[in-house]
Amino acid sequence: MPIDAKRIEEHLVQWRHNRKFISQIPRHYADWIVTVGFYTALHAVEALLTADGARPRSSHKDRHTILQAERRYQKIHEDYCTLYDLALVARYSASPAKWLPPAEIDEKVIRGTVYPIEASVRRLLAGCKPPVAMPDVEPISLRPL
Amino acid sequence: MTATRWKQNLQLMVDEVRQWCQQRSDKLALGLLELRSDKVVFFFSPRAEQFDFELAREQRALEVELNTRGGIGYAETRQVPLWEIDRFVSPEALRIWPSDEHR
Repeated sequence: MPIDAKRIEEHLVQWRHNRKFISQIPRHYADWIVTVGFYTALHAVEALLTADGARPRSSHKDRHTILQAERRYQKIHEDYCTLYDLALVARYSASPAKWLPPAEIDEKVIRGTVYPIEASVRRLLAGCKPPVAMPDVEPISLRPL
Repeated sequence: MTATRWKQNLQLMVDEVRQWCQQRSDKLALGLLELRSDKVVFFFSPRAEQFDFELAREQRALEVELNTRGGIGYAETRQVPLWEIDRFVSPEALRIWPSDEHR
């Protein structure tokens, strides 16, 4: 299957778009930071899976199945599915701050899951044939509590 | 795969997940199983009120095991708050841990 360079680029644009938004969310809206963090990671992962020519994905289940199945994605699977798990509760819980206190978002979510996913995607994209360069971006700077 | 075979595999996986829960009894409060039309979902609630990141990492390894050796179709695990369990888990879910012998 030919690699869809346009689609890869579109996912990378959306990755940056969502990522930029994280820094604009007041930190006490931790539930929304987690949610946007998840969709930031999702587009980075989609860029990679597109570059890898992975089979079509129309659901979270499709994506998870692919990430679980290949050793190449092991680290991404660990962080991505944890972020998925967190984002699900963040969206539907009536007390999301009790489950994940806003003070822990930076260390445990941004540095603990989003950055590692991005680092893995960047490394794997660079190793694709042809290589895909993930644009350099600023660190995510959360607004103070 | 026949329904009988699938049921056997499910029973074996439930036994394995029970053991997994028992080994983490210091941090786990509850393990539930929900059978959905397109997947099998294992729900875990930590004893702590907050999301347990260490447990989450261990869940990922369990998912790989379930999906590569389970023979039960697609399976996933989720960590949900005990204090809000009914928001995330169907009332028809089965409690797999603690089972009566572990209580």
